[in-house]
Amino acid sequence: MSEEQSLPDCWTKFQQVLDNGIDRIILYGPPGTGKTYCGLTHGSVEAGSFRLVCTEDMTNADVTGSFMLEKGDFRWLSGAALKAWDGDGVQGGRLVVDEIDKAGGDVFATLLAMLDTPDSASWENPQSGKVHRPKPGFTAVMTTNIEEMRELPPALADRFPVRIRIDQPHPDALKLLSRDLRRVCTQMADAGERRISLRQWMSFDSLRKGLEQARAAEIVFGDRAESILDAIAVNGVTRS
Amino acid sequence: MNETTHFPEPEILTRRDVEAGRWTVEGCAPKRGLPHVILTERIMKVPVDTTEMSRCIRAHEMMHAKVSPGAEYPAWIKRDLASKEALAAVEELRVNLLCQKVGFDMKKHLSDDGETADGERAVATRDWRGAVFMAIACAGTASHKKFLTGVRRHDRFWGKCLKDISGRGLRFMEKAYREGNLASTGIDNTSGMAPLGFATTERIAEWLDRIAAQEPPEPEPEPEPVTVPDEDKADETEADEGDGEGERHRAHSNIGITPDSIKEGFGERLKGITPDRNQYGVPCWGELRIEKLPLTTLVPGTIGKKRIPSNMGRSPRRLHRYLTDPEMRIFDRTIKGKGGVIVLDASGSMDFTKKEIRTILEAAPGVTVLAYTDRGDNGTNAWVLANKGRMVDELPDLCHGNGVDLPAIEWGVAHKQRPNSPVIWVSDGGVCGPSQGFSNALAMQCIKYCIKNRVLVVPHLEDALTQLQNMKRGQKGKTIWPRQLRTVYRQANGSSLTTDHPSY
Repeated sequence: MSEEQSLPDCWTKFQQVLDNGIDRIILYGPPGTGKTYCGLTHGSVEAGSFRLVCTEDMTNADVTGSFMLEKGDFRWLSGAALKAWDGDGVQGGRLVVDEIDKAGGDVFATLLAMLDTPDSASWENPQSGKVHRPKPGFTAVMTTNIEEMRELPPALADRFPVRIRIDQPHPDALKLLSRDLRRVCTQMADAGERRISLRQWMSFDSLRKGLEQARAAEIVFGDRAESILDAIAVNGVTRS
Repeated sequence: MNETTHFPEPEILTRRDVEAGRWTVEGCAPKRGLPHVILTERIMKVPVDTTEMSRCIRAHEMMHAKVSPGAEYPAWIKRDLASKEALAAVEELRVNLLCQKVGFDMKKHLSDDGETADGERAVATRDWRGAVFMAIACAGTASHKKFLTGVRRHDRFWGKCLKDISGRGLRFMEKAYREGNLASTGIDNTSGMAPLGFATTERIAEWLDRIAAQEPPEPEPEPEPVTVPDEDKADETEADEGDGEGERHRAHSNIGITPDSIKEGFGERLKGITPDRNQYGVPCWGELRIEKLPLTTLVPGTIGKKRIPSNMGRSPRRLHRYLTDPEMRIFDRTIKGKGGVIVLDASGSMDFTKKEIRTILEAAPGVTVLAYTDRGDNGTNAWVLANKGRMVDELPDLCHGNGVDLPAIEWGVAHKQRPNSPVIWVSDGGVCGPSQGFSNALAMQCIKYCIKNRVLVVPHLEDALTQLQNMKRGQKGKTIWPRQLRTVYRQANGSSLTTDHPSY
């Protein structure tokens, strides 16, 4: 298998933990590497995957649900966590929680309850009084840009014993880029202050199809354009 | 003033032999010696201004980060095929050529204007070696012309030679580029060395070392230099561009003119020196794994000690000499044999018997015999067949490949009984690394090592015996170079091995 085709170690780990029944995973690392995308699509997600983006202003309505006025009556609308618990009615789905560390106190507490072990987790619908429990097969993937896992609240860290640092874009996402930019993009995904995200590379790749390469670089990378193009030229010496 | 800066982006560079990582990038002035890259620590120091020269310097350092060896560099030096200085000079050549190939105009912009003075200094101090390395290091850049200008101001013949050498170096590198792999950062399967592209650097550096080792003819002092006062400025450019044809005696030249015949001889000699033609893979030696076999057979009288008459001592043992010996040496004193080490190439192309080993021991008391052959596995590849008057009863399984010629010779030199003990290498010269074919580079390495350490080389065991007998009679041992080594030397240097090293 060629170097480009092989799955990077971080993604191999993710695949392995999913394949071996781990149902609580934290994916962390630099932004733009496809953590959320893979959380939503990889592994067993036939029963549906549900995304929850945490912000300071969000409420429990996003997590468990809320009453909504519909045609003169109030109707219960389930939140992402409850939907994931229920899945397709037989199998539990996947809950992908983005930036859980940014959630406010009450939402955070609710999330902790929803992400508890299946035996302890339960939630009662205020309208019907029905007690919900996560269906078998419910999984949760949390994504964050925090680099130090010690910064996570202990209760949350305890619920997610498996943490994988994603430092490279997923090869499937890289396939959207031109071949000459794939390895470069992989390396720059985790380059600290000089990081260039997959999205920037995609924009550059797209622009250079219609514009001069130098102009495309100038638009996307600004002052760094010349240095980046020079580096790409030097890096291309093995192909020349 | 808010001036734009261009910090390079070394994180973009990908290599097959080194893991990627974050770099520390700092700015510096665009002056020779200041910009550098430390690959092992991922530190890059380059000028960050917007000039084309700085851009070329950045590209140069970036190319080092892309293709040059980092942590593996000491391992390359340890191979001892080429000197550290030659490796550094040729690596500059490789990096500059690769930069030019990917679109940086090194020929026009890479120069800091100090090269002319460097050229003048090299000739003024008669530093031929330094001049050769500098000429190669800056070949293919704007520095090159300026350096040669400086050289020609004092010695046009040197300028001509250096121009020819750097031109040839550039052509060798161009050829390697066309062959591919010049910029490869892959790992060589046989030797495990990386980056693979550096093998070309090593090959050309080995050639450069031989060029730099040549002694250029000393010029005769010129009695009356002809002054060209008015045309000096105008002629300078013209003369600097020239190739040294049509001698003009310059007013500021403090070095005279060498006779043409000597010059031509030296020039022809330089042209005869060529690099190893093998452009694939990295030739290397195997690791020497020695087994000390039980030395059960005692060869009488071969311990190396014997008593000889002396005219001083305590117990007179030879009283009859009082009457017969004019020097009246009636006492005894013990002398030790010269000892010596015989390193036997026991590959398939060689053949010897136990009886011959015994004859050797009888001829050279106290000699150590080491036989080596690579059996293509990771097991023992060298055996001590005789030592201190004892020898093996049965010879081990020999007659396979070579694999460890140089390490075996080095072992022989390291295990000499005394500094003046002879070391004899018995080989037909068909040297090669483990599971590799014949290598000119490795053969040249053996030749150079043997000359440097005064190891006698003979093609057959009988020749070794003859040499030992000659030395026993007080004569000097003489090398009989195997045909294969003579051919390699002639191919590489354009001259005869026996002519170049007659006293050896």
